[in-house]
Amino acid sequence: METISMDAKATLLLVSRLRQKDSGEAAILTPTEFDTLLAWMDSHSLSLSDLLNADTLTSGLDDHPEKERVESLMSRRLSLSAALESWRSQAIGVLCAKDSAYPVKWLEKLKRTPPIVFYAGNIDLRNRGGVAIAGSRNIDGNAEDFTRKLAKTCAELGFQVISGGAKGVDQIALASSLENGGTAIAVLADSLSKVSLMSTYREYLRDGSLLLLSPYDPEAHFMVGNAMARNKLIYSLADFAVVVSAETNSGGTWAGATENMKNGWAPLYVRSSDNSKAGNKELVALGATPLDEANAEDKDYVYSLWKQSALKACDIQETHQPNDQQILPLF
Amino acid sequence: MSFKNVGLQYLRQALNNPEADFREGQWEAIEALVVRKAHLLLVQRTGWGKSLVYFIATRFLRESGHGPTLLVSPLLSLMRNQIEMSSRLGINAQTINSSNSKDWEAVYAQLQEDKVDVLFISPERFANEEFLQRVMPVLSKGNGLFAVDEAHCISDWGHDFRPDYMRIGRMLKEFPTGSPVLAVTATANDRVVEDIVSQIGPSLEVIRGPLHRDSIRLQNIPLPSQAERMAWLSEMLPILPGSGVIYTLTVKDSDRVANWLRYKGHNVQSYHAGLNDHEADRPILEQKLLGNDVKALVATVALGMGFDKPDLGFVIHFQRPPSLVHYYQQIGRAGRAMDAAYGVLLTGKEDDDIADYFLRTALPPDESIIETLSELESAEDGYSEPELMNRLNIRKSMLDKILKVTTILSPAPVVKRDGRYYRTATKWEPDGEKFKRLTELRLQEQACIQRYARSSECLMELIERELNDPYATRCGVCANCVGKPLLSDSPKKETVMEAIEFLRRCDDPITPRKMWPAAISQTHEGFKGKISAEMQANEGRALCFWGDAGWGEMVRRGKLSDGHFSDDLVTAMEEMIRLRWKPEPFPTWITCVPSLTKPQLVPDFAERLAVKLGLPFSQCVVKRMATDHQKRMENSHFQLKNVLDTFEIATEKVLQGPVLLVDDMVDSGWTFTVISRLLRLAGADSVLPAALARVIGD
Ligand SMILES: [Zn+2]
Repeated sequence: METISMDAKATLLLVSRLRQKDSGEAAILTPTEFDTLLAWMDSHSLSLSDLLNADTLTSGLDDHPEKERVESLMSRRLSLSAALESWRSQAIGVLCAKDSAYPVKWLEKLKRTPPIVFYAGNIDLRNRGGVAIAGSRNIDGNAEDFTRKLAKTCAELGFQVISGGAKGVDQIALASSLENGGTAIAVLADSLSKVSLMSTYREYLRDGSLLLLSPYDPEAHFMVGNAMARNKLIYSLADFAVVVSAETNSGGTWAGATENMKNGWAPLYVRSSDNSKAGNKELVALGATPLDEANAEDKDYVYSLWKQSALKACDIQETHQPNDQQILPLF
Repeated sequence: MSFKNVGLQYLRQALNNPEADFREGQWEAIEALVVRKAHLLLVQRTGWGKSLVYFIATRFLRESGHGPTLLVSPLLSLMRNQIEMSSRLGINAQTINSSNSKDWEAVYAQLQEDKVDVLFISPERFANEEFLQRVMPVLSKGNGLFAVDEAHCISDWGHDFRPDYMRIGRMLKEFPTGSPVLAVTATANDRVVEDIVSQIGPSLEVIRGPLHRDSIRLQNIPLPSQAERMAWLSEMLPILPGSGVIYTLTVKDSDRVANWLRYKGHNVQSYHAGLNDHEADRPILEQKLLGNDVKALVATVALGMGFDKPDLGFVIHFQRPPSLVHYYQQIGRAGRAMDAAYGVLLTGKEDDDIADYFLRTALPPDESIIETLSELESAEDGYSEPELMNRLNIRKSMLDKILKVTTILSPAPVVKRDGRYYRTATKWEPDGEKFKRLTELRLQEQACIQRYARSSECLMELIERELNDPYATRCGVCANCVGKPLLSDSPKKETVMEAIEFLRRCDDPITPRKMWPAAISQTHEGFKGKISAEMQANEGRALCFWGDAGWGEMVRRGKLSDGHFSDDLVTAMEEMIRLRWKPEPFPTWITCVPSLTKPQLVPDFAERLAVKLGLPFSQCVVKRMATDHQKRMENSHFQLKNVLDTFEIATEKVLQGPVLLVDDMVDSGWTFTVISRLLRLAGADSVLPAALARVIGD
């Protein structure tokens, strides 16, 4: 586990409950408030780590409208060191947006990035791209079969699988990729602490083939809003995305897929077959590309999807230089 | 008024002494904490006045709007002088620890209202979720002082390494600058200081003062047998000034020595962790000693660090502590406010054995850790501690240690969550090199205190050098400086004889087992939950402890060299039964536990005992197969599994009435439990277990 940067410590003090039910008298900053504070500090030539210094904290924030709130949050040193101690012992790492290990694709693609991300497992997987696989919790045998086959094909092609780590499609995709020697990222909306202890993931966390990421407190419980808000974190990490099954106008899969199409984070494919859900057809009607269920095991076909999206990405972001940490599959 | 003058006023107020002045280093430390928010490590002798530093610093910090001071200390209760000092300073000091749970709500409420100025907590509180949720947010407000008492515990090179302090060390390391931190210890040599600094980081400033204590007079007296040392104590207690502490290495010795001294009319009490069931008793005993309401507490190390009694008249060691640093820490409490106090080290022939035992069991063996980890590795959803016990042949006390050590590492190979233990993805490999270095260090420390016990040089100077005190000098008052014993070094023969007689009457009750262990029902049907009253043994008796100075030595000789228990033991057992135990109902016949390895040893003894008691003997218990030695069976589940299938009863040989069931040794008690059940099934109406010796593991 790397040491936690001063910037990350300062960010945690501002935006995290630090494993506690509440942050005391002053409410923690929302991501918007955090961005506003950063902008204000920028204009006053203050850096995040200046807030850790008692003197600069007092003098620097003199004409900030919420000086007291910030001071109160920043005074939670004991809670911070206890929280860091707890996370470190669970092998949970903490990154802030300024840290070099923060996922680059979020910074490139998203308007607003999570100020803090917690992780367990191999952080080097973060910039590797891959295939986002999304779908609902309750799926039929065909959908399950498709998910398993597609993830296996990805693993064999060296494409990483990225999912939300929820029950159903997410977990099937992860398991199939890992069991077939692939790597995977799960972007969790809750319970990173608990998930990192699951016996099914242990050997993959150990051998470096799995990365668990979460913008939420590792002890956080499931909340629909958080689950929705992390869809963009999944899509933006991927080279392209496949929706296995979606309900029209309802559920996280639909919301995530349409949000993705609107923002163009990753080219979207949708499983199509005789019995696929109406939602799948609707997504195609909205502009997603159908992916014939029968092609899930066709390596050439899946490879061609990756190639198309890679080319498209070059078209869109010609100016973007490939990151040196990015490991391109197959080449 | 200058800042320092305000401080001086506080000092005089705290000590209730208008003339008092700061000792060297006190004001500098307070100023560094209050003004510079420094991170300090103070190495100062007991009684130098470290409480003054954190109380006065707290007073200043609270005045300038800082949050409460958090003080980590292994002490169970606040010392009276700390309470007085803080109240004179107008500081509200409270404590939260395992012994005062009934006060917690009240303390939480005061914390909420920001009325607590100093909160004392024990180091393991940081592993407690309730504490983290309810107390931390309040304490965390306002950059209060974070103070750590007995900071040498942070270093595993220290003489008193406590795993919970590892967490404190890591928290201190993460502590951002700009918040004051104070770590204090009275006993840290250079190696320990360097280790603490390397763990916490270079921001830690070290301030070191002289360790010398002029009022302590040291003397060493070798007295090989326990009876001699018990006699010595009884003769010397009236001569020793004030009240004091007698340290023993084991809980049993603490009880036995205290019983003996009470028998001889001395006002003493035993004090050890075995009193845990009534943990509240420990603070009461401490108060008795503080108030000179007892002549002495006969204590194990449980009467620990930070116990602060300025007029402690003597500290006597009944056995040799593991190192000179331990020794200094324990005698360092004596005679701070007295002209003369005594520190006497008695050494005995059992010292080496006990030292070896502690060395062997100090750290869990790698194989046991590996076994535990691999069991957890296979768990679907972790295991609770009882579930683990069922699956592992590891003694509970050892499993506790393994779980403590593996969960305290960072990152940890095992994590505890909602009462269950989980294997994490973190790899674990035995650190053989470190284990070896630590074992070597402990052996060196043993050799060092052995040298001390025999030394003819100044004893205080020897200790100070061992602690790397740059100010070490000849004391001029120890037995070696004076050139003759300060206290007589040989007890009277009559008293020694009396102590031997006393030990010979120290028989020990054998409490019958009342529950089958949970795991047994999985392999043996019908052995579940409570053992019904009709199947239980009655309370039994053991004549002595294996190898002790009463009968124990004779039992050992009988079993290991002679292959025969002497008639003296038969008489001793008969007297124990008729004169002291007097069981109700009294047995009407005798049987014994058979053994395949030494088939005659116990039956021969039991038969002679039967003759002596005038009762019939009938060997109705039969052994079906050889069992592994009980001693090798580490935990009770495995011990029981081992004996359950071993014995059967020759029903035709069962006589009428209550039966005395004789064995040479009692360890886990499962053999007695199982055979008693079989005898009851075969019609015996009560079973009274009797053993020659009790074997003690811890
Ligand atoms: Zn001397």
